[in-house]
Amino acid sequence: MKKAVLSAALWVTLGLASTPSAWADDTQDFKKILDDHWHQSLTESPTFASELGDRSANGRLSENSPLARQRRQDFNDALLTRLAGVKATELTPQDQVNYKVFLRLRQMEKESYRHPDYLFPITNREGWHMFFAQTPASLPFMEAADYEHYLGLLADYPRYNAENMAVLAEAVEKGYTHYCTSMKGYETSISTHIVEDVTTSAFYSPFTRFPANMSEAQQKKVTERGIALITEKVIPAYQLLYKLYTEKYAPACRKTVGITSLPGGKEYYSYLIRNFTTTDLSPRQIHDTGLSEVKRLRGEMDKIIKKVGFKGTFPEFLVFLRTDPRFYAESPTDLMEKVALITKRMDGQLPKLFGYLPRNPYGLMEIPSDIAEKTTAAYYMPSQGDGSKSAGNYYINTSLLKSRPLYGLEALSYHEAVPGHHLQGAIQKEMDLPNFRKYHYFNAYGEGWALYAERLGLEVGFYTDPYSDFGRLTYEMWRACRLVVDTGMHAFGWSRQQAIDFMAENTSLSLHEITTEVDRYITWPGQALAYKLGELSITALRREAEQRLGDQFDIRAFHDMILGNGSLPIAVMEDLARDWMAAQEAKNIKHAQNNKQN
Amino acid sequence: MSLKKHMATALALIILPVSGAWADAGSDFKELLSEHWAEASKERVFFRTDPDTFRMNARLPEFSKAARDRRQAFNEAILTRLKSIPEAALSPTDQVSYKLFKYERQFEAKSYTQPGHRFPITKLFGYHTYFADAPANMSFLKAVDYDRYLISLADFPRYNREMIALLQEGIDTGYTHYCQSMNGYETSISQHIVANPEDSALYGPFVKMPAQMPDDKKAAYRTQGAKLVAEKVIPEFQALYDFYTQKYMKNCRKEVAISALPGGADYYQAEIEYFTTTSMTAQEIHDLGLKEVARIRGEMTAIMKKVGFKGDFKAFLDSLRNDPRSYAKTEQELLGRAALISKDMEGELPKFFGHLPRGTYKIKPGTRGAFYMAPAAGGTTSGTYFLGTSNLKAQPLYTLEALTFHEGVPGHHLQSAVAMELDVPEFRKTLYHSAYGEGWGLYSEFLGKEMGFYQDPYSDFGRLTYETWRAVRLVVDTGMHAFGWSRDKAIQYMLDNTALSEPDVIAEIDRYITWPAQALSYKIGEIKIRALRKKAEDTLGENFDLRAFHDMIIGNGSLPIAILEEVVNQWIADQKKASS
Repeated sequence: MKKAVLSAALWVTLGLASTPSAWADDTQDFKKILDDHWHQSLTESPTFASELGDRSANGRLSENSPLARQRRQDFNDALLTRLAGVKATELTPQDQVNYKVFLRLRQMEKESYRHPDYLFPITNREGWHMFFAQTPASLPFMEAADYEHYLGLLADYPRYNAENMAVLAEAVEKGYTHYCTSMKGYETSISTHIVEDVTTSAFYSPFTRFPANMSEAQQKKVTERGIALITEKVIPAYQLLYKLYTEKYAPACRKTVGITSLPGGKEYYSYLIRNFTTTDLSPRQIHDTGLSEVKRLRGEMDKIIKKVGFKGTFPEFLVFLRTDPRFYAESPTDLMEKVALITKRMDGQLPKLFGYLPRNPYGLMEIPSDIAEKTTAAYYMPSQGDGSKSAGNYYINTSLLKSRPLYGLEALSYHEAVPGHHLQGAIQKEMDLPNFRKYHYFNAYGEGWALYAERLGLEVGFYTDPYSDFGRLTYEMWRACRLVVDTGMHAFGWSRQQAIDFMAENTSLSLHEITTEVDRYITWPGQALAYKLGELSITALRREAEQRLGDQFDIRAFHDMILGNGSLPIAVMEDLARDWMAAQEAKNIKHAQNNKQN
Repeated sequence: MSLKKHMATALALIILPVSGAWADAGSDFKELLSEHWAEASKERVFFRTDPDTFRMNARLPEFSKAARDRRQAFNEAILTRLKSIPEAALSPTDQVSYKLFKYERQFEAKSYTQPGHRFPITKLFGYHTYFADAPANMSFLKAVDYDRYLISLADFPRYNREMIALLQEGIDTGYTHYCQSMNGYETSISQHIVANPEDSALYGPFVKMPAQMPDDKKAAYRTQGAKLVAEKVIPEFQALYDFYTQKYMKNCRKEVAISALPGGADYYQAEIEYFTTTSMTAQEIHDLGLKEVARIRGEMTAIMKKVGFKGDFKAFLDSLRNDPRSYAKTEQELLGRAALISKDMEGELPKFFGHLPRGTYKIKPGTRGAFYMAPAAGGTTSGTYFLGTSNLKAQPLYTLEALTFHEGVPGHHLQSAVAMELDVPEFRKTLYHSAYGEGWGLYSEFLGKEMGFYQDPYSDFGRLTYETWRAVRLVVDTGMHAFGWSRDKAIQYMLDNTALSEPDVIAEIDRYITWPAQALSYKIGEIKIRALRKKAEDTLGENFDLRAFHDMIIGNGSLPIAILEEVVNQWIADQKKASS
């Protein structure tokens, strides 16, 4: 209210200067829309608000009731109406970018409510109960208030759990469940948290080590309350979910692989592709791009096989890679140390590739054993909130060591940590951007960047071991295969086995990894398309810039530009990159003219 | 002063009458600093920077008598001008810079009266090893980087001759190094005398060249590089080798103590002041060392008890040294372990520091034990934590946590990278006071404990052996240079009191003999930083914020102890005001 009055007053004083006043007006309106949206986002996501330091949001989990979903939808619709009243052409250039990105997000959100999206709160490797079990490891426990926050979350869990369980029950009723085979064994992700001895619960760990600023009496009291909440609220909630999942959900699982086999599934898949890739490519276009990339990469892989002097066929080479003990770590510590050295070496090369580096550091973590066997080889978790009080973390899977080949570690580390996800995410948070742009993650941009980052290792002299370089190619191949099998299964009638075979023939991933991967594509359609499509777009921009700028092309400046705008839809990133190229060209021409005059 | 500047000052006076005096003295001071920085950049000699950060940048610095006289005269002129700027009229931030700048210029003036320049080599390093090692720690990204490098190679003969002349002056005045300590040093020269220029470390930048550089340009640089290395660099290493073996070592010093030389006692005291940035006497330092050794021994004994060891201190040290589990089996294992410790620590930093640097650091095998090298100016290289890997028995795993926290983060790298990124006058960004920097490194080893590391009691014992090693330095450095201790006595004392291996102890003692007083800085600096923290904690009570304290300690760049103390006192007063 106050802000509206203020902007009116501004309009009066600047009434004569027509252009800036129009700017001021639409700019103020737009700013207000962004502020309102941000405020509402924090209200809807109290855990995120408390991460950002809002103590009043402590101790609460978000809502997922039909009422809450309706409220969010109504709010989004209202924002879209208000956005339509802002003349984008009247905004500052910077705000025009903000407008474009924000409008796209609101339109995609609006569309999401038309699809059965909310009926899939779990995938073969994720679920709210697994996410919640991570809180003890991800929250900071630095003072008594942090414990109060945590105890509040434990107390609120039964409600949160019940709302999400209602969604699963609705999914069963409406027939929108996951494919049977892909979900096999999922119940252990629930049962692992149903323990007799509360001190062995993952939720108990914050009570095993306290910060020095809490008195013993405080510690004792907090521990007692924690034990009561875990035994009386949290574990019973997991028991309820276990019962629902095993007795209702699993028996009602889907018999067909493709999401398009469901009513409205075709439209839903098309929405997911647009959402994850931020492009309008059709399943056919994506499938064909995948096949041509698979062919190209196979050629590069064959070259390496020749180089190392292997006598045998491509499948025989893959068997050799999958079985020779030299390619596998001896112990979890051995694996962690190898990963750590790779990351420290890359840390040292970053100044050659980037002019602007983030302040926020990253650590290494082993993936918790309760989820390790079911999940990927590695993942990245950004710092909490604005990153001022915690680091990002690169998680490494140290379970089933025989399926964690060492020749993949370089590519994996450049992808998850630096120059991949950590570098991108930490810079984004530190840029002077509207909040929604600091924290939003576009899959195609983010995963595309991380895949592009794998290749950057080559440019600073890494992958000296040809097997490791083969590992890089096999990772790239893996992402190319995703274009083929995700669309294959969801749009072109491929079976799960067909997808597994295709990946086994073309990548050196272990069979264990391939199976969990394919089940991921089945239960999370479209997401896996983001990597290769995003990377192809960034690589193409780099080629274009190199050709346009010739020997004036500055790799550090190019990367600073790509990362400095934060996460973007592909088309917006391309526009900004071309603006940058034009500005660089103009600068070079001016520079050349000045030189002549001198 | 230009007219424009006068006008700017006048304008500031009208708008801000109160701070008008600030603006005037402030701009004079700024002008002085920028002239000084321009001159130092032209000379390529920056007083009191870390010698480990040597990197060539086109023409090499001059070390002739004329050049030293020129620098001395310039420094005098700066000091005179500095006197005419009233410190009290400066802004509070400028006052810190003023005090620091004055302190440095006065020290520099004093340094010209001392014989330190006669020692461009020590047991640990030399101008020639710095020259040979530098290219591997520089970034060659563009043609201009190569152009500058070729200039440096071509200039090496002059540089080398000037350095040899300094060594000759050492011979003429008796200021050479102690004979026994320099045993085997000639290999640091001879290893760079290679038949094929392509095998020289100086040819390194031409081996892997930027992908974007056209092939014909690469080939041209390679040809020129190989020619200069063959014709200008390798013959000069030969000349140094001949001089060193045939002249220098024939005149090596027979006495351990630097104070045995004419003017040596003064020189030792000056070196104590230079490295500790305090005016403590050798006797005070010696006594402090003895006290610290006794105190830390008590903590070590407590751990022996905790792990249930039956036997005396020496037996415990032997059991640690002789246990094969105390050592890595391969270079990769050692580097990997250090890297994992580093990453684990990096993940904890935001809980203990509010302001972290953008600059990164890497881990690399080094040629001379562990040390840290700060990034080059210009931002295209990282810092480097070098780890000695050639003898795995010289780097036990039980000290690897302490070592890593010292060299990497939160130690040297964090401190240096933060300093380089500060918004302060240029001279403050790369200044390096041993007591502050090494004190911070040792404080960082201790901080690791508070941050939850050293879970393994043997590693915690390793931390204490590192601490006691630095306490022992107070005893033996002063012992040898001021109180007549023999080299053997120093070796024995160190063997009895630390967990270092015998070859390490010998190398350490030779380092102290050839680099007097430098090794005093670690423990003196750490004691001061911990005392300042204790004072802040006691004064501020529950309002003491450790993150803010750390940000303040490293957020002013490197400082001499006395100025650091003033900064901390001001901070405590400000914090007190803010919380009341």
